[in-house]
Amino acid sequence: MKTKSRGHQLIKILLLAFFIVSIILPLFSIFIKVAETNIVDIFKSPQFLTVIKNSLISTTLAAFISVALAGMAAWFLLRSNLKFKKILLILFTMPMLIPSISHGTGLVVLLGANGVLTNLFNLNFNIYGLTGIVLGSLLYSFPVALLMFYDVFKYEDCSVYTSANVLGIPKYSQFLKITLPYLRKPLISIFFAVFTLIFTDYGVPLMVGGKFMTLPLYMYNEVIGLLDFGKGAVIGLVLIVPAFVAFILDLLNKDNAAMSFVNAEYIIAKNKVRDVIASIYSFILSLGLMLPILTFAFLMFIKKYPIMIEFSMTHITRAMDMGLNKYLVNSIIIAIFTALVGTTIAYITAYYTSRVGGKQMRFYHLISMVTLAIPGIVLGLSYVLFFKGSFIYGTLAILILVNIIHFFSSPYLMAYNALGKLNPNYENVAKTLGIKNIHLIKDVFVPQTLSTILEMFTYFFVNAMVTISAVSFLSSLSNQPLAMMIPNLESMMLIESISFVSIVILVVNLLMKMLIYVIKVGLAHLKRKGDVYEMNLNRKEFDILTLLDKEKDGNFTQRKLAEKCNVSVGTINAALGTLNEKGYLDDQNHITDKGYEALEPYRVKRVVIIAAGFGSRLVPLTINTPKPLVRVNGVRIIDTILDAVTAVGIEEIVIVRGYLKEQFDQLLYKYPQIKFIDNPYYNEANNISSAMCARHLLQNAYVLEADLVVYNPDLITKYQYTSNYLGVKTDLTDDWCFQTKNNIITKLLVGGRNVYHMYGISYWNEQDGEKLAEDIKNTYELPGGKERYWDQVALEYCKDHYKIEVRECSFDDIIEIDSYADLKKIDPHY
Amino acid sequence: MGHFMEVSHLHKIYGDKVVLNKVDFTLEEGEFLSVLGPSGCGKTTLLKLLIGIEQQTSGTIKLNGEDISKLDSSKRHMGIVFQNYALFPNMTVLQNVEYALKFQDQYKKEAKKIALQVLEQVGLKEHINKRIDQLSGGQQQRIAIARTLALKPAVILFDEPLSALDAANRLTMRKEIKQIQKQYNSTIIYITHDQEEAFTMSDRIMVMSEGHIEQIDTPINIYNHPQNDFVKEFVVDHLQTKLNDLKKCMVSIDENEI
Repeated sequence: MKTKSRGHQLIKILLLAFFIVSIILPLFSIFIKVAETNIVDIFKSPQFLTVIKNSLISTTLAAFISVALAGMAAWFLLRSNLKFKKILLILFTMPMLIPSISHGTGLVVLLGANGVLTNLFNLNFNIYGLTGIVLGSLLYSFPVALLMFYDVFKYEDCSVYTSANVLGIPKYSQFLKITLPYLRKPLISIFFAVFTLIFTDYGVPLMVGGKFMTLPLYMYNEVIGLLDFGKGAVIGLVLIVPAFVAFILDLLNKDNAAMSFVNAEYIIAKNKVRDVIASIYSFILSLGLMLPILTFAFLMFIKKYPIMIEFSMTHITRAMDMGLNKYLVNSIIIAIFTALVGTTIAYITAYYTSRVGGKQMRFYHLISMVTLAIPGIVLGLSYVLFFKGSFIYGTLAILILVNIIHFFSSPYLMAYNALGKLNPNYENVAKTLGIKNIHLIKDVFVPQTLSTILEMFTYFFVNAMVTISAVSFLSSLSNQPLAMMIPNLESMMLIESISFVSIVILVVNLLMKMLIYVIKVGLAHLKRKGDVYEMNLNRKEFDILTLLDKEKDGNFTQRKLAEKCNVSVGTINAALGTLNEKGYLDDQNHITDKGYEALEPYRVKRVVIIAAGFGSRLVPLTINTPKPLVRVNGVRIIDTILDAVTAVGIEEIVIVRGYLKEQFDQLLYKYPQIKFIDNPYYNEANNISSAMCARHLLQNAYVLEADLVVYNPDLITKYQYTSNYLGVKTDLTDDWCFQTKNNIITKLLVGGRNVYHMYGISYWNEQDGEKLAEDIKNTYELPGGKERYWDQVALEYCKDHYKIEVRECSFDDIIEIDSYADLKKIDPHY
Repeated sequence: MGHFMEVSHLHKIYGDKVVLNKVDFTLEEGEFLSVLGPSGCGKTTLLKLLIGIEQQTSGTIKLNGEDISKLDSSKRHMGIVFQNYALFPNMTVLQNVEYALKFQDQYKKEAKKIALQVLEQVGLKEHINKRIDQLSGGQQQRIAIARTLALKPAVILFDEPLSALDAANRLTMRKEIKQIQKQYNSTIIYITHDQEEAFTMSDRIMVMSEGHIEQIDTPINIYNHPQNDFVKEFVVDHLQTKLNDLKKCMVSIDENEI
């Protein structure tokens, strides 16, 4: 056997090189720099300690509030009957589409000295400082926390709650004893993830920090302002700590999390009070989250709020003069390439780690996940240290690279999980069929993980558009992305221009998200195109196609068709023309593949024969023989049915048997495809019990009573248009019969005039068959249900669920053998 | 006279554990051979070595006189049907069978035609343009079988294909597999841990435990003349118990009837 293909080896080496150059070596540079620096002095400085203290206080505060608010919001979204949930989810997560620095700006425009709300409500407080940082961080981190909680609640196994409800455990107790313990581990994960996010962000403090200096801003100033890389590196190390802790916690938690495969969905109980609270809460929350964005949209057109409230394009033109167009193009190029290259590398890496496996692969897996533990600005600094002076420095390429690494772990995990879920035997199948793995990936894996790939792409793109962390130290006026324009504008106090830039970024992200959504919908539509379950033939088309199918070996003329369908030759010709146009018939009027596809929903797939009864009126014959096996003129009664059925090629035959059931086994010699269902209640209940046993098998199925001698096998056809019962038009009968209107059965009677005498041969289409499963069960379980006849379910007790036609036949077509006298009439031997 | 398939001294070591211990057996054309044994007996390893997914430590496999022991999986003229079928849900039924043919030089040009033929023969003609998930488990298995049949394998291997099915489906599927065998006169090696299954389906059964063959013979002979304690307990006693339970059931029913 060949050794592992060269291609695989090459790719693995390239990946290794990639990870070493883009993650390991740059990180080393940080450590080296730290080693060169006088750490002790830095740590001793009172400023440093103050900054750490500030960071810890503000982050902890903001994280707590954010997690609490997000937890409640997620709970309301998934566990209450809140209206407009989809819209709320979009509003709640929209803040993710703008940079953190924009959130800080949002606070300034709303609550700053000249803020909109400040002026509206005559507020008098200082947004700068701890308050501002907490509020800004809240806006920034809320969507992330929400999505994490959403996942946690969504994938909780809710069968516990159902059991608790049945046991009568009160809701508050359920919350304390079930929900909270379940939340414990994820809560810690989420808290630390949010903590890290806020702890390492400098955008919000830059805008509203005022004199309250935090660690990332401190690092930003040292590196950008004072070019003190050593100090920057040391601060960077401190910033890694919470990220690293969060990473470890996540790792530990994931192993213990029970990913149940069978997730019972939560059944939301009715609770008006809870829903009202949820609505108010969600409304206030969405208002708070959207207010900055709305204010941006408003401010960018206002000359000078609040002094000159008139329409003006000044801020927009100023931003454009300052190079917005160029930076926008930069951003889009960076974002697209980050998304394309990042998705590809993450997907390939995930393919190797999830499906190829092996000791080597654990390293790749670890490296891919570790990127989560490196804060953006630390990564950025490491790239400065490692790549400075190289050809890649100062180009768009280095920004693309740093973004790919910075945002790598989430898309990687998405691909890892998606690929891991696919059938584990694909590679073996490929080996035995001589299919190379690369083709497997292209033709089998990628198509099946398309939605994941789109999600990965979106994640990379959106994050690359809004990031100001990893790119901060690597941007210069030549290559900077649009988001980096904002810190520059901030130093010039051009708040309105910042509003405009924020809106531009938002719009680009929204457009991309919509594009991806459209693609997703388009793909789903394409997938469904192949489905053949649409019943889109009208009655005439159906009649003609089925006749042509029946006569396909013989000759037919339009005249013959017209006769059989009871219409003029002209009508037939027109119909044939239409069928040809639709592609169902070819030019020789033979049915095409497409025509057969169109007929497929009407094809009878199964026959259910009810044969469980005793046949008391045929005693003494039925003491040793069940009625369906009694011979009439040498032929078993049931054989007339079975022969008619097999003649039209109906695949499945199900016989519900009860009395003397083992005698039915002899049928298998002649009809090996029969499946038996045993009805143990045949003695205690009427034939509704047999229908109960077979109730899940009635879609596209004939149901026949086994004591009917079918003299006219043409009654059993291969295709049926819709659910129907056989009936003979008659003036008077004293047996079961139906009244009809427009060919639809309106009432079931015993004895009547001008009715259709009923024969127990019916057909049920797919929808009606499905409904019957439920209706039979419900009728059976009613008091007295067991004494009913199964026909009464659809024709009497649940009749408004159905529109059943009567299919006309004659008395000669079928003979019902009810009594010994009936038998003697037909078969003189008795 | 050469046998259709000859396995000689097939030996496999994982680390320091002997998983397959110098296994010898032969197979005739058109035969249905079950490999029956408890988990860990080596039957899955045997399967992997035969089909070429893994390499043996030593020993040879000969098919039709040709030594295939060192050949690639795809060159061994063997097909395999896995427990979970491993069909491609993003392709239609027809495309699933066509796909494999496209990579074989000798079938490339007529891939669609051959695929249609095979699908018609297994009774799936009317479903060729459907997606996999629109079909029942039994139909899906027929597609998996069709996919291997299209390449005209000399031997078809089945890897516990029915373990994941419920009892009613299992019975139906057994019949279907036998039907297909008759239709194609296929040579089949069928891995299972279910004694009943092996008994009702096979021409011969190869009972394995702990990496070696305990007995290889027709079902009747194994039942009547188990060669050692393992075979007696694993096969005969087990079936005997089932039979006795059934008999007891029948007796009580008869008693109640009267």
